[in-house]
Amino acid sequence: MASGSGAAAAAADAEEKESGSRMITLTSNEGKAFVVTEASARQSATIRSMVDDGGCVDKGFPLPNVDSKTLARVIQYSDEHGNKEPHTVDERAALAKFDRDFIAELDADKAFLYDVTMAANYLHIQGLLALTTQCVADTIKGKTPEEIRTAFGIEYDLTAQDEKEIKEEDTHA
Amino acid sequence: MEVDPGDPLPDTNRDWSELPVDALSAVFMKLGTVEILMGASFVCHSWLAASKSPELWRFVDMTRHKVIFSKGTDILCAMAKAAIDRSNGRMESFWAQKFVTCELLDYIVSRASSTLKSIRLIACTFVWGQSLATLAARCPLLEEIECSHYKMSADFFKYVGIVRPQLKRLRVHMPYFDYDAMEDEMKEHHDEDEDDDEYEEPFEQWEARRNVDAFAIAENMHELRLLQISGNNLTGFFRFQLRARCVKIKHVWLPGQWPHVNCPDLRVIGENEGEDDGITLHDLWEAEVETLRAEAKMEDGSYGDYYEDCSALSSPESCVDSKDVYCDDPKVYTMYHDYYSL
Repeated sequence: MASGSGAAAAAADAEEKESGSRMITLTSNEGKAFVVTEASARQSATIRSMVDDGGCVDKGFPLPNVDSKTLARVIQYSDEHGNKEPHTVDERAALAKFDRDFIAELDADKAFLYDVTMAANYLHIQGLLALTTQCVADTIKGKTPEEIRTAFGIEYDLTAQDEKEIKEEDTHA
Repeated sequence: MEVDPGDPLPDTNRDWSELPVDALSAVFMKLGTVEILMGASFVCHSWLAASKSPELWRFVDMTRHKVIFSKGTDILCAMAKAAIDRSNGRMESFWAQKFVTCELLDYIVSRASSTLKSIRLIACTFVWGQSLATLAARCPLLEEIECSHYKMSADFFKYVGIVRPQLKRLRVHMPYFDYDAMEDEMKEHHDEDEDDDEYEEPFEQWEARRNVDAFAIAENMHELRLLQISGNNLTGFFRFQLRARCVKIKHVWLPGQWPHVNCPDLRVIGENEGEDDGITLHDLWEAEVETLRAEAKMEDGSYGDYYEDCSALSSPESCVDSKDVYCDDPKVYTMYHDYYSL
């Protein structure tokens, strides 16, 4: 783990030297500041467009919809994907392994999965959203509507009108 | 029993039914047609509403799902129609396995003829060539047709080539063709023509007969980029013909490797293969023999075991027969995938 983050830091340094990449401050809804590389922050299309539109880089970006725990996890993903560009087969495999481990942890904690999905959606981090929605889809697959409700703690709220429509669709052969 | 006070309470703020529509759409995209129609749609009001987005139904894929093998034709057709309706005239591809009827094809024509680009039918034994040919004729954007595991006639390919000469991808994946039956047929044929001095069938005639479907394909489909054709006993000669007639073709899958129908085993001919003047028909034939030898893992180079392997596949134990499918058995499910090289 230590060597991994060391490599990440080295890669980040190299990146900064090469492109003069700036550091960017992201602030959670609890007021906690996270300083990340621009390359990492650019994983988010939302932040990317704000950076490209100029301004506010120095002031940082307050993220009122994201709490600290979630933001830390999102940054972990963005660092891994933003600061490195996998070139070799091994590097790609390492990144794939990172994704697998990352999502395995979230899969075990559905509430956290929800938070990260919401954050990925809000920040428009495509790769992360793809990862979390795949996890949600995998949970849904093969389940009946009732089992899905149980798995995600969703209340049955289909209206009589909904049920009528569903019935019509079913018999319309 | 006391509840451990350290346990976090279930967080009521995280309402999965309130997932933003973009995220929900991303989830639904990954679920695919059958899962949405059987499960996710009916979870709650907001999911039902989200599942009706026409964007989700541009690519309707009703293959490779155990429901396909466990539900009746009428239910599956009703599901397909629901999917077509939800696409709201935007369906671009329709892929299905087994259950498709001619009536359903007509329904597709009536609802999606102006947008349909791809139709893939796998083992759809209720479909008449005529219905599929009509669909091809009525869908001007059609680029891809698959009709696998159910034999279409050479006339079908000829007709489709005439009405849809711009077709880009054609997949005709057939089960192993019985060489022995063909040999027998040839013998009978010779017995009938006893007066005929020529004992051997002329090579050209034999070749034409072996390649009748393939020639029908090559005749008019000059825009093909991909041709997946197997189990049709194609000869090397056909490949040269294909080269000459379908100059845009990039990928030809001519496995000839039954029973290994998995995609990774498919033989992909390189873009320039067959163009080199240095390669003779004999070379190609040698290469084919080499492939067969490798497949059969034969030491002496004979084909013996190769054919035995083939016949073994049609034995009751290993033959895929949907009647006996216990749909919850993942092994069978996987076998279907392999069987249809999906």
